[in-house]
Amino acid sequence: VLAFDAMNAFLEAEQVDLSRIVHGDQKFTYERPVRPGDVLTATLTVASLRQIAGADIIGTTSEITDDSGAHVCATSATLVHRSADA
Amino acid sequence: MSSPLSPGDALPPQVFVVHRDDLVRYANASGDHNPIHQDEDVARSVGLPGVIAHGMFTMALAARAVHTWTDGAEVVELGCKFTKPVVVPAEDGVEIQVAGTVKDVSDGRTTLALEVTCGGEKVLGMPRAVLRA
Repeated sequence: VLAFDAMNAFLEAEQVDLSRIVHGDQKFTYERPVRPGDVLTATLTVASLRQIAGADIIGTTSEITDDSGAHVCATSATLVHRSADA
Repeated sequence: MSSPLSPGDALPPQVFVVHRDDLVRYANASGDHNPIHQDEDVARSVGLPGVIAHGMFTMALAARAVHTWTDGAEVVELGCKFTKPVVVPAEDGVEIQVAGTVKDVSDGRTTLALEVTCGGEKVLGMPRAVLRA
């Protein structure tokens, strides 16, 4: 959900029409479990961008850290944006 | 974990029924208000067969099955591709089945290969969980 917040902020900043987005894949790799009381920060990076058959394939990674800066979780997600005329 | 898992073990399939109101609750909980998960007209307008479940919701059902099989073992990796949309009809909802096989047990880690199907068709590509167990 945290990484999704970062994703939403990115999509909003890019003024993407949400209904044209589908989720292609998702992976989580945890260094440690998330515990109640954790204060976490997600930093999203656009890692790759490809165009296939009129669709933009957006590869993202997110790094989730706790308030001491320690690594908690790494996520990667692919978003597929289908253009209106695709 | 209640009993140790060994490579090759088949885990008993679990069935979840998904309704449209589950998708509304998932949208509110996750913040993913993409209308393709709630509005039939919008879903069809972008070429989908109807309202579809959030991929992350289907993935969460797989995670719940893993939790049940392993008595809540610590998940260190969880991943899949969203290969086929899960269409959720307005009235009766739809059934999702999660099956699993133990692939590997080594170095204190157990790898499960999952199979997540809807109407007999796989909806997730290579769903996999790695547990610290």
